[in-house]
Amino acid sequence: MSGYLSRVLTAFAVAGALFAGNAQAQEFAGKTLKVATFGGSWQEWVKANVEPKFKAATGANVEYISGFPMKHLTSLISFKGQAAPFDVVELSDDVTYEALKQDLLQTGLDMALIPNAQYLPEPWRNMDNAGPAYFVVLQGVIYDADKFKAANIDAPKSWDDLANPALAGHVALPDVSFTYRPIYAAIDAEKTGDQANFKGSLDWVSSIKNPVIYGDAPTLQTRFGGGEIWAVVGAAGYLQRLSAKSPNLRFVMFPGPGKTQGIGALGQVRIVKNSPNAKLAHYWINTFLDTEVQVSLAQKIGFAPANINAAKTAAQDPKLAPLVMSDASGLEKLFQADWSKLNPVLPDWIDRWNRAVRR
Amino acid sequence: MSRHVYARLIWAPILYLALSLGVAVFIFLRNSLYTSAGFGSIVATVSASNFQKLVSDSYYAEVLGETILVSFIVVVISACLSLPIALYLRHFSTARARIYLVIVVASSAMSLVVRALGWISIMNDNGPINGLLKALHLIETPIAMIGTNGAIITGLVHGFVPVFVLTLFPVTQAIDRSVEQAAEGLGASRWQTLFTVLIPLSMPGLVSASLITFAMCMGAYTTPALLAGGKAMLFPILIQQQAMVVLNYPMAATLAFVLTIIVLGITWSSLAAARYFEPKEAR
Repeated sequence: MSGYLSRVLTAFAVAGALFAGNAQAQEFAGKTLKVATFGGSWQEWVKANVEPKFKAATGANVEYISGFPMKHLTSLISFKGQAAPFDVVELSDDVTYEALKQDLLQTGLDMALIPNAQYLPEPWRNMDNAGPAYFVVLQGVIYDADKFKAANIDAPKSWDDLANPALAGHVALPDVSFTYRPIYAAIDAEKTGDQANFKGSLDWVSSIKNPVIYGDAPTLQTRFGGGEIWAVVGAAGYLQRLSAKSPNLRFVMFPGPGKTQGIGALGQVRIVKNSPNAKLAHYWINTFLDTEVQVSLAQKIGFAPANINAAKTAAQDPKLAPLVMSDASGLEKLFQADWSKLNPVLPDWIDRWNRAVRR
Repeated sequence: MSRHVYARLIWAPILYLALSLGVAVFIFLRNSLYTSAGFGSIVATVSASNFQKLVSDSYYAEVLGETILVSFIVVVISACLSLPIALYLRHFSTARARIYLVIVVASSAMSLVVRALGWISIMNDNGPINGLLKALHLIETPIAMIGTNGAIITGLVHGFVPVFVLTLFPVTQAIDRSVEQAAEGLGASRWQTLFTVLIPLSMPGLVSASLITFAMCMGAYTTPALLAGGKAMLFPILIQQQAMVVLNYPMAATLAFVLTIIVLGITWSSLAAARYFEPKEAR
């Protein structure tokens, strides 16, 4: 009897879901959601993994606007007070902070339309009342274990290990104007106790012998492909991108300031203020947090899922395990930059970097 | 069409060019007089603080000087590479010369990014240049080429030689072959003919091509940004940082305004100098 009841209930649930899906499909049919995205291979992944599920759920179309988060922020500032140039925007957390400060994003989201947010650690479900984080970029060092072994160099255990003279000309560092400022903030916090003063990290940069400086992923990939780079300071995701050239790449994070065990920056997908498709945008965000989508995020892109269920699934793969945090306590131990301190000093950081590094 | 009709038609492009340049310069100037309140916010109170910063800090003058020097070297190298091509093409029929011209121009049809990434592959530590030098036992450790002005100049020359040749081509094509033959008939060697006849007659094209190349070099961003390897600095990179990273629009406008004025100034004085040294009968 209970089996029969279960089947009936399941049938009702499936019918209900189909009906709900059908109702949404009718509500949003013919509408187009404009998504400002990072572009490149990331956009290809979004088109292949997020868009089909979103379309199936809503029947709406998707139009993409590619660019760095800062470019999207520039557009939002230009269009402030006018019709939104796009409905949803993918941002890094430093840019999200600024966009919220300038009242460019919608707050007070209807979280009932984003049920997948329940699978996220509580602090990330509705950040600043403007929506959830959708991935974590773990930041540390990707190194070629084979090249380190051949040169008789131990695996790096701290930032200072990269100053080993045997690594001269073989360490790639991100330009400070690129997206990995949390790394420099963490080094500053560790060395000087103040994540915003930049002295600790600039001293550390000058201790690295003849570093390769990169300001974009294609340049890094090209130079890495040439074999001159043995260690990259950057995101765990590069492990996926660079492994075609060097099969024995490893990703490590170092204990940081306080009791932190690594560095994490949050990817955030947000609804733009005055978007005419705000309700539809909620479904886009919910689709992004879908467990299957989030597992693919780790597998194809190398970003740590914000969805804990997805992180647990991804962690079962030994190759992906170092790239993800599969429990909320691990995520909470990540050093996260304080953008209220770092954003105001960005012009000063860039100026000092130019004079010290771009000589 | 009579000259009168041309005179009427020419107002449209002149007006378009003057307006686009004038409006851009006006916007740069207006925004340069404001100050930034951080991340795209502007305080619309008139102040000369951005210009004061530029004048009081020698760093900006150094970067500007470096940008002018790099652009000048690119112009000189491009001229040295383009002139022989343009003169050589004179020896073919117009149809055949155009085919060769298309081949020269085809190398610039590639995307700037792809071209720069290609140079990065060639110039990296394990690339073919360092490989050859090592094989010839000329070096033991690789020469770091990316991130130097040399790398930037190489990439820019690659991009601008076709532009230079295209600008020079109509001028060299118009040089009458009989002038060259007359010089040789009067006993001038090939080199004398080149330096005393062909180059002076090519001078209008050389001046135009040099000025166009110089102006484009001064504003070039993509190639320098990629080949600078995060270590070299030119003025357009500074502008990009202020406009797209720091979102300090007033400072970006100030830098852009200064760059525009410098380019216009150098162009105008070069034209004046060319006119001054021009033979009187050619004026």
